[in-house]
Amino acid sequence: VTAQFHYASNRESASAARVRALEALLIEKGVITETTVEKVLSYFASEMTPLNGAKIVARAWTDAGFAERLLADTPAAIAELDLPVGMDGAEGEHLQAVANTPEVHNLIICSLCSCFPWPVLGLPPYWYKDPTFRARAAREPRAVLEELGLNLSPSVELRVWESSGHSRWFVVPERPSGSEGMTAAELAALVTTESMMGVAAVATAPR
Amino acid sequence: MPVYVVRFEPADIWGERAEPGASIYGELYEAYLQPANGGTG
Repeated sequence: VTAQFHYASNRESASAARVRALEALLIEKGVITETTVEKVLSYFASEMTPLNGAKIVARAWTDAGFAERLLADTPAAIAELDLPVGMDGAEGEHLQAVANTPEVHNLIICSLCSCFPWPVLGLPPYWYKDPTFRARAAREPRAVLEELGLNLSPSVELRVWESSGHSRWFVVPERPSGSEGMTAAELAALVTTESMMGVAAVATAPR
Repeated sequence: MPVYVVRFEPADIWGERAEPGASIYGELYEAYLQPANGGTG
């Protein structure tokens, strides 16, 4: 099995070199300018971040009506909030929220590549794109979650959502006990990227 | 073309090696699907 997931140790630097060559070619041919890539990257880095997702989750925890609308029509519910423009485009066209409950736990993966809900979670962590994680999270998600420190009770149903070029899933984690009385801003500060991917629970105090 | 979210039972994909207690949801274009009740769609 290990051999199936073998990859060159320099794959990242090799890819980076290829991308730089492609960028240089596109600039030379006048397709993009010298600042285009930097502008796009900085938009994703500064506007499309997990802070957006955390605000959405905190709102869902404190407003049952919003939570219901979020699950029924995710982009429309997100549009109610005061978030950066572009939330319903650029990799977020078909955002779909799924909620964890005491009976159901959700996990988002992209076994094919690295599809991810950029507008609400930012760019994916590197391990999300790892071939071994992608394959194993589809084949033995409970074992993978356990290795990541999340032990699900056998009675909890696990739903694995395969992201695609069409749809981008994200998880509304369970509100932690002990968070009663917290403000939406305080709650948002508890919400991690990992919890919105379904690989961690939300805790009231940093671990 | 409509896209449907389809729930798969792990045993249907992985057979005996499937991990119990989970299901996997993937999306399929309508063209890849057949009616479940014997229709021809």
